[in-house]
Parts: sequence; structure tokens; C-alpha cells
Amino acid sequence: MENEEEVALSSNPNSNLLVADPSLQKKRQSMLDRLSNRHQTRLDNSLTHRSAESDSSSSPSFESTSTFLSRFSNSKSSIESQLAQCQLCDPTQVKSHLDQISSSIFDLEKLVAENSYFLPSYEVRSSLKTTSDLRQSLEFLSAELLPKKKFSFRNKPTRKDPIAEPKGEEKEQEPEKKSGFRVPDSPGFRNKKGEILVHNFKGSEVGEFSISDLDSCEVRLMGSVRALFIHRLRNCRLYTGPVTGSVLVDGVEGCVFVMASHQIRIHNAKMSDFYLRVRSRPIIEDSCGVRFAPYCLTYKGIEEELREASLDEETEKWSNVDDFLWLRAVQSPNWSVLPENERLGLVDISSSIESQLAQYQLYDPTQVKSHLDQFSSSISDLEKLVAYNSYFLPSYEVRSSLKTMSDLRRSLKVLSTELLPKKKFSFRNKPTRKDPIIEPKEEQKEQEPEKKSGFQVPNSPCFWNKK
Amino acid sequence: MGLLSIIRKIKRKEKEIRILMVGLDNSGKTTIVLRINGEDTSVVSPTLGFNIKTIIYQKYTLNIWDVGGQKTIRSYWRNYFEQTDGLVWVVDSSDLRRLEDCKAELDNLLKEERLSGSSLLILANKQDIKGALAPEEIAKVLNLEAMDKTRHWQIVGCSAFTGEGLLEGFDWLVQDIASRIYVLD
Ligand SMILES: Nc1nc2c(ncn2[C@@H]2O[C@H](COP(=O)(O)OP(=O)(O)OP(=O)(O)O)[C@@H](O)[C@H]2O)c(=O)[nH]1
Ligand SMILES: [Mg+2]
Repeated sequence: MENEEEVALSSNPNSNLLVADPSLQKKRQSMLDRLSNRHQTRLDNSLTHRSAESDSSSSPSFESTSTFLSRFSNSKSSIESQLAQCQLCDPTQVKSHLDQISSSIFDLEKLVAENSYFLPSYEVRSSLKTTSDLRQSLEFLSAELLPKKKFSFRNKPTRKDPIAEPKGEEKEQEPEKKSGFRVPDSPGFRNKKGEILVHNFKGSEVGEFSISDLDSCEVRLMGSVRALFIHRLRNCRLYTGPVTGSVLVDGVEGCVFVMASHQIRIHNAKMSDFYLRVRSRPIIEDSCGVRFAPYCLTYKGIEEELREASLDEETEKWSNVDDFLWLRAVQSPNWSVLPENERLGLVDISSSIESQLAQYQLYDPTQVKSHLDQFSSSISDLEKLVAYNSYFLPSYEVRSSLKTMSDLRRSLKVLSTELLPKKKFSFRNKPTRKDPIIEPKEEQKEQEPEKKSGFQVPNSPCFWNKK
Repeated sequence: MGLLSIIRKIKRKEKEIRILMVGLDNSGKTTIVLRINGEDTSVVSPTLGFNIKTIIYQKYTLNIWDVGGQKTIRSYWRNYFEQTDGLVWVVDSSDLRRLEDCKAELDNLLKEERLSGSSLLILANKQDIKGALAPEEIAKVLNLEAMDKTRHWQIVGCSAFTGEGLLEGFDWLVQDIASRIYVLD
């Protein structure tokens, strides 16, 4: 290896010329300096505290969580004690001491990075937090012990301009020059209240779709789409066919989502249910009271669309949720699996009876009771129909009809408890709620007490806006 | 250490280029890295910490750090700025609503002194999606022209879905870094 390099070096046709030309020679020298500097920094960083290993470029990967953890905690305590000692050490040595700690922390960060592929996710998160806390302590300490001069981690060997102007205040107040370019609106549904919104992507060019600022709406998307953006929904129901890229959900409350997608990211969701088919792990951030269940949607042609999108298989990923704000091995309190007896049955967005059912949610509250009664009697009719015909039907048809009806009954029951007052409160969506305005997310998040409906919504434990 | 041995050491190491990939969550960083490396991209989870990939690219060894972009993770980016030769900022060109966030995060990043020496490649990803903004439009929204004049930067439209544009982008980045660091090569 080394020999090869030497050959490569000496066989460089330029090297002879270099000796001759003084300006090139100068250039060469400066390159060597640069490289040596850069190289040295790398060595310093990766080796300072790893005397045992001879190879500087890769720290070992253990593939064992316990080995990792014991190593991690050893380094951590060693760094902590170094930090503590710093206060006592000779002022002339402070700088080098701090540099050393910085590279120990760097080592630790690298250790986490290189082992993160096999570690449980909460371990990755908590290790990240630890290293970041250590960095912060180091920065505080530096600010304290090295007054006046802003502490810089190390020299910047690859920097182009040696006399860089100090960046700082003047950078901060640089006026936001408007570029004059107006970002167009993407196709989608926005600013609606109490409507049923239907869209079929079939036949249209694959693209993205946005759904934002809806209150008490039902959205039905059929056909497949590449990307879906969902922003600020309240008391809505959203049903989608396959999304071949990702769904990004941000700022929703009291909603029900039935979605199939390759990736699903949920931010700022409260008290909402997600029925998902997804190829990778769904994630939540800044959310609480969210519940998960398997996908339960049907409409004409959905099977084929799901197959084409590679979403025909149930991967069980829907129950494998990652809460980015939860650092412990125990289950995050911010999400749960929706108990089976509270789940929706199969939702058919092409069938009229289901859409009727959905519409009840949007009706005038004073008429709800009579509508529900009517609905109940049409289910009775359906049950009779099945009963009268069951003597000649294949047995599986009977069973599946029975199941359909019991699902309908259950939906009706759920609806009744939700829509008719005085009944036991369910903290799912509150569809008859009046206030039409969806305030901007920022304000709403801070000061929205749960007092709208007069019900006391039980507080589930939450983690918000942690840093 | 004698000069020759230093040179030897350097020769071994010099082909190593360290690249940091950042950008908002969902922009496609992980998918891009997998695509460049010829790996399966059909199941990609949001990145919880980071992925590190070592890729041989032409005569260089790229050490690519793909760091998660979810809000919770962004505060950790700064831990990985050290020794970065190249910075790749990935943009979801179809996520029109968050372009302002995207600009703010990028502006923040570029204030970082430890990154001031690194070349910047902006990938306007997801060009395959109908409705995605073109790279020139992304450049305007991000106001790239207003960037510090000493910065080496380039914006390239690409799609991790089709692979289009990725090589062009990385070619530029590697060449730019190489010509900055290895002027003799
Ligand atoms: N249509 C299309 N989708 C893409 C493209 N690149 C990525 N995606 C999709 O976008 C989603 C997000 O991609 P990821 O690679 O996980 O994004 P990321 O930037 O790594 O996200 P974080 O790890 O959270 O920072 C996935 O569903 C990808 O399939 C692209 O070029 N075109
Ligand atoms: Mg990722």
C-alpha cells in the first residue's frame, strides 16, 4: 500500500516540473501544508482518547447494545470528570485541556454514529442527547474560562480565505431581501368547513397534493399520488388510496386518518386516530393522544392500485411507531394502539350507505337524532334482507354480510355516542363543534385550553417543544 | 516524522472526502445516499440519528454523513460540522409550504463558522413530481445569489426516484473539493 503510493507520487509527471518552477513549488508547499494540517486534525480528533486502536479511520462497531452502552457510559463519565477538572487546572493549560475534551466528545459522537444502525431507537436518541449536553457544558465552560475571545473548536485548515471577516452581528440583521419570486399554490383542498371533498387521481399525472385548513370535513382521495401534505385540520376524516412517496401531517386535532403510504411523518397531532398501511415505521413528533390501527379502506379498484404501489401487503408497521421525543425503553405515552373494539370497520368510500353515514357527522345538530334513527332502521332492513336470503347464500357470503352489518351497527353506535349529548364522552373527534376558525398553529398550540365543549378532556402525558 | 512519511500518510488519507448531508426532514437525503450507492430504496424510514456511508467515487473515498432532519434531530447537526469538506443541502422541491422553513434553516447553517470552508451543493430533489419547482426557482426562493461571495456553491435539480441529476451534482462537489484541496491532482 505504502509502496504503491510512493510509486504513484514519484510517477506523477508533474513532480519533476515542480522542482523547476518556483511558483509551482510554492503552490506545492502550500498544498502540503494544507493537507498535513487537515490530516493532523483528523488524527487528533479520532485518536486522542482511543489509544488501544491502531486504525484511526474507523472506530469499532460492536453490534451489541450492552457493549456499546458500557463503553458509552465509561467515556461519558470520563468526559464529565475532565470537565469538572477543567475548573481547577492551570490557566495556561485551559485551552489545550478544553481542546482535548472537545475531541473526546467528538469521539463519543462518532461512536454513537457508527453504532446507531443496530441500536434501539430510544438508545440512539438518548445518546444523542447526552453528547449534545456534553457539548453544551463544554461550551459554557469555554465561555467562562476563556473570556473575551469566542471559543473556536479548532483551526479551519481547509478554509479558503485566510483573513475572513468576523461573522456575527452584522450577519444577523441582514435584511431579508425578497427575491420577488412567488411560490405557487400546489393542487389541493384548502379553507373549507363542513364539506365532503372528493378527488380521484386516476388518469392524472402523478404529483403532489395538499390538504390544509379544513374544519369538520371529510376528504376522500382515490387513485395513487406521489406525495401528500396535510396541514392544520380539525375534526376531519381523511381517507386515501396509495401514496407512493410520503405523507407529511402537521398540526391536526380530533381527526381520523385512513391512509396507505410508503412513509408517514406526523407532527403536532393531538387526539387523532391513524389507520395506516405503511412500508416503513411511522413517526410522531410533538404529538400526543394519537392512536394507531391497521388500514381499513376500500373502494372500487383499490386492490390493484395498492398492488401497483407495492402497498398490498400488510406489513404491521402501523403499530411500530417511533416517537422522536421519547428517550426511554418503555412505551411512549404519546401514542397507543387503538383497542380493537373501538376501531372503525372497513370503510367503503364508494358505497352510498357509508357516505350517508359519513354525512351524518356534518348535519345540523338538532336533526341528528332523527337521522340516526332513520339510519338504524335502514340497517334493520339490511339485516332482514340478509336473514331472508341466507338459506341459499354460500356460507362465506352470509358471514361476510353479517360482519358488514355488525360493522355498520358499530359505526352507528359510535356515532350516536359522539353526536348525541349527555352520553358518555368519547374523546375522539367532536364533529358537531361550532367554532369555524382554525387559528394559525403557533398561537393555538400555546394557549388552547380544552374547554370548548364543556367536557374535561383527560390530560394525557405529553412532551412538547423540547430542546 | 520525516517529510516523506508525512507525504505518504497524506497520500493515503487525502483521497478521503467527508461530506455532510443535511436538509429538512422528508427532503430525501437517505433515499439519495442509497440511490447513489445502488441500494434498495423501497423501504426507507425517517432517520432517527444518522447513517454513515463510505462510497468509492472515482478515485476518492467519500465519507457521507446523512443526518436526520426531523425538528428534534436538527439541534444535533452542529455536532457534525467538524472537518466537513462538502456540504449537501437537500430540498424537497415539491414541499412548497415549507420552503420558507427550508430557507431559514439553510441561512442558519451558513452562518456556522466551522462550515465556512466547505463547498456547498444544493440538491433540488423530487424533480420527478409534477408541481415541483425547478432548480432556478428554488435558487430564487432560497435567495442563493445573496450568499457570501467566498462560498463555492452549486444548485442541481435531481430525483432520487429516477436517479437523474445525482451524478451531476456529486461530480461538481467532488471536483470542487478536489480542486480546492488537491490542487496538484
Ligand atoms: N417522488 C419522489 N419521492 C422522493 C424522492 N426522494 C425521496 N422521496 C421520498 O421522500 C420521502 C422521504 O425520503 P427520505 O430519504 O426518508 O428523507 P430524509 O431527508 O432522509 O428524511 P429525514 O431522515 O427525516 O431527514 C420518502 O418517502 C421517499 O420515497 C424523489 O426524488 N422523488
Ligand atoms: Mg433520512
